[in-house]
Amino acid sequence: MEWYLIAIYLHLLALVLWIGHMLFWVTAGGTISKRFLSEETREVVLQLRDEFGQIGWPSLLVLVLTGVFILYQRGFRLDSIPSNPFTTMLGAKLSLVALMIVFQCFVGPKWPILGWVNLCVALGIIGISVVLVRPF
Amino acid sequence: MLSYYRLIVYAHILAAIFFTGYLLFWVTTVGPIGKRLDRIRGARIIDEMRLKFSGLGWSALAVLVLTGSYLTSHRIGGFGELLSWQFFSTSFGQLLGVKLFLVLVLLIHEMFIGAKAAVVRIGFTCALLVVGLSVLIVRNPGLAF
Repeated sequence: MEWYLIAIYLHLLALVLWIGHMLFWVTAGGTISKRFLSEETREVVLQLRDEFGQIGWPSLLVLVLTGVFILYQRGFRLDSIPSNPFTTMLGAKLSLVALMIVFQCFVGPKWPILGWVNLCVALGIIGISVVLVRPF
Repeated sequence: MLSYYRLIVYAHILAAIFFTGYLLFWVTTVGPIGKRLDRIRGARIIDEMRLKFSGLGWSALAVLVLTGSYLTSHRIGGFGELLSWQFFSTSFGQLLGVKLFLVLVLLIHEMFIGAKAAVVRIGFTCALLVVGLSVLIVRNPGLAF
């Protein structure tokens, strides 16, 4: 039970840091920095963001490892996946996770407009997770 | 599948994620600014950041407090329980008590956001502890109250 709770904590920690960083910058931080800060402050803030904001890969690694462990603890095995609404939702979540990994590998911050798409996918994953964890 | 309760949980989690991202922003900027820039220039930049960004932190905290109040009331069956010492003698009550104390620290911390790198680090640590306590409160079926 303890390892299960620790894995959930690490999973959530990686999630809040990665998605929190993304959510903050895509929805508010980026716009405020570009439109409302003086040139001097904007330069410093954006430089520090690029320098310390590279948390995507480490977070993704923690999310995948802890996610696999949590599923294993819940009794999931690749050779016997039951067919029920839970596994259907889980399949949808894992497909979106795969989409985010593809984004992280091939797109990254090159096309800012896709940042919104990536964020929507992340919010979809969180929404599905809420439904999976709170089944009432 | 969609319910009012789940929507409130979703809003609470999103606000918590946004607030953590906001604190991460402060942790990764205030410390380096203090170290790299001279005192007057650093203070000017941090003052401007506080003016332009702190509204985001307060908004996220407002959503967290409102949705958190609803979820707590839903879980324990009203706020009356929070007034009894007996409630805080249970394992659930103790965890909730520590979480509420840390939330109070976060609210006070928000008034001084950006003042010092150490203050920002304390706020960030509190936020991560609150996430940990929430895991224990939500995902621990053995918790008694």
